[in-house]
Amino acid sequence: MRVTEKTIFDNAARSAGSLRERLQRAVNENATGLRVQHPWDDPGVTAPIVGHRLAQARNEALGVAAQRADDEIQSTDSALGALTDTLSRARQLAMQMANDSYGASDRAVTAEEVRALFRDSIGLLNTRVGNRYVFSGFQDDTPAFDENGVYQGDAGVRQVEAFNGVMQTVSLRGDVVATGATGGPDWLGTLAALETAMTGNDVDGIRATLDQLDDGIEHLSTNRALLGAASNTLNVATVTARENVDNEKANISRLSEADIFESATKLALAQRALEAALTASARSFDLSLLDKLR
Amino acid sequence: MGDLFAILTQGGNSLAAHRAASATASHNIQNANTPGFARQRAELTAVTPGDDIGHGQVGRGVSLLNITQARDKFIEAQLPTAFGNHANSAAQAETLEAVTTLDPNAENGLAANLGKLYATMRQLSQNPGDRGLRQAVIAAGQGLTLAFNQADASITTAKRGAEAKLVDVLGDANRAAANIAELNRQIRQGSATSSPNDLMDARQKNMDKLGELTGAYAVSSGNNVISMMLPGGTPLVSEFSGAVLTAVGNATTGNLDVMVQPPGATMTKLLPSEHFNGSVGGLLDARDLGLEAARNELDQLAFDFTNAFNAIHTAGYGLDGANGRLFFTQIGNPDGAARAFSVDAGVAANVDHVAASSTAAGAPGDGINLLALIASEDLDLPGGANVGETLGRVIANYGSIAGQARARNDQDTTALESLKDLREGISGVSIDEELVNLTKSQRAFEAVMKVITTSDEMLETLMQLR
Repeated sequence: MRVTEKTIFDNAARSAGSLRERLQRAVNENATGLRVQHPWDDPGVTAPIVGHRLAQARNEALGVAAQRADDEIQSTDSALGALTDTLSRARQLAMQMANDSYGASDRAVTAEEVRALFRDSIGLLNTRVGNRYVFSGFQDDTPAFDENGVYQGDAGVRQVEAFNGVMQTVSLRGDVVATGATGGPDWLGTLAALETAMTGNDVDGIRATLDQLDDGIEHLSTNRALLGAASNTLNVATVTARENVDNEKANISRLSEADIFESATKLALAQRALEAALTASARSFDLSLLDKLR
Repeated sequence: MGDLFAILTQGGNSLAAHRAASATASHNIQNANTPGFARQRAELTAVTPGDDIGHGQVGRGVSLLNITQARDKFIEAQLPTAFGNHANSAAQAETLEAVTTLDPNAENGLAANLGKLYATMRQLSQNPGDRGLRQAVIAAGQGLTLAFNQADASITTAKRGAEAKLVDVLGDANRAAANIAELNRQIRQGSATSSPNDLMDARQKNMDKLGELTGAYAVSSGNNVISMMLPGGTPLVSEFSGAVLTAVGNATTGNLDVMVQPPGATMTKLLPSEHFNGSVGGLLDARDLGLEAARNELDQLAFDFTNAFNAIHTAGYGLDGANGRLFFTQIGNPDGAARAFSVDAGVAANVDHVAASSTAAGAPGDGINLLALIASEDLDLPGGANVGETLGRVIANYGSIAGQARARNDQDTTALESLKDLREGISGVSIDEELVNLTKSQRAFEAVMKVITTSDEMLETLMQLR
């Protein structure tokens, strides 16, 4: 093929331009760490990248949700623990005052303590996490019980998405926990009855509360077990979500990020190729009859 | 006349021939870098017949026969199409690559904002009555709004940019067509007496340009006259007159249509994009196939997502116990949905309107409707895929079209450069070669001068005879 000076210069310009573009791409890849910045860089992986990014966001949110739900469950469990202590104390007082060796004045004094325990129980059942009353069902802007022990919440039980599409119950209704809704013991009513019996020096009445208080303690224990199971599930959900986030990040990285060694190699090769092309071009420019004819 | 005076006369003529050869080499060197220039050759020939002096013929020197050009019509006929293909894919790739709002990893892109919307709803599901979290959901909805709006705006900007370029390109094409027509006339006139080489170079340059701009190809009309036709068969140059291309706004589509007034015609007609290759075809295809397709898919996604999300939201109850409210502004049809996508003004103005509850009685803590909204992330839209999959498909489709244009441009560049190299190999000026030719002419010129000097000396000798 006949080669003219213009061919030499054009080819030099073309190859230098092409190699500079390649070098720029390599520099860009090294600087950003991304192999796929635009959809046209590798259309085949674009849709999976979008899917993995959404899955990452979903799992991050699931992890946060599970963690917060677990925090709330811990607060609820603490309240149930304190209620168990309260009921145990009430049972202890009932056992003590059921003894005939105590008189009416002793029982009247003890009634005051039982009243205090009742008020404490109301306070614990009105536990708040953030701005929410956790035992009020869906009416969580309202205290679960009024001062007389009347339930003010509703029959709602909150659920959160623990795993992808899998719901987990994360709240207990106050009326189920304390006043016998759905068939459980009404230990809050029992506390009120105990106070009444103490005030009235009604030994039989006091004795009648003992079994009910036992049932109440057992009921609280059962509910704490439920919370424990939910907490375990949420812990697993938190860990799973974290692992999923890591997996999704790894997937995104694998699809869209540049391999650092490969990028560095590409950059070095591009630099070398450009240097070689420029050197070769410069040498070919020197070879002209113009320099020989004088 | 084999006498000494004849030698002097022939020497003068030969000097003129070598001077022409020298001038041709000089002209070639001076145009070594002129685009479209084809090297020229001074063809010298011995003057015939020689003088018959009885015992044979004595030669009469040299004369300039013709100045020709080195051209390969096979290669040159392929070049306008190669220019057209290259310009077509380049225009498509450059136009489509201007849109970066669909980047899959963009921090504020559609995917990121869609993820944020569902993430904030999951946070709200922890505490559906929390007004701060409700505000976060609305803000995420507004973020998604911005992403949809920006994606639409960037597509619109790219379309308008393509159309602005289209207007310029059509102007350039009209000038090239008019130039070719005028050069046809000049070449035809010039051909009567000699070979109008430089005019043919100028015409070839304009043919290349017109091919690059429109994809028009050359058709010989005979007598050294060239006509140019669009791939769809419409003539852009018909011998001595050129067509006029104009961009006219289409009130229905809002786009610019390309109209042509064929050579010699008074009426204009619409030319669809498939009639073009070159920059015009590339710009029209980028607009109508790449950008418009992406916009339509985005519009459909925005429309379907709005409907699906609103259908669930309207069934739920806000903190105030009211239902039937939209979260995103309802859109009448898919056309323009990405641009119109927005959070409903009522919800945006009052966080209590976020319908998280499934019943009025369940407010504020009943997040059951919110859970249904969260589950919409996995619900199939009418297109058969959920919102995330559909978004991925839209972005991948766009990337595929832009990627194909870029890949095609790489191939077209290689093909074009190869043809240009071949043409340069045949028609290009080699300075080394021309320097040799120049030196050769110079030496011949000097030799003829020596002949003249010798003849003159011989004449002087004769004239000194007594």
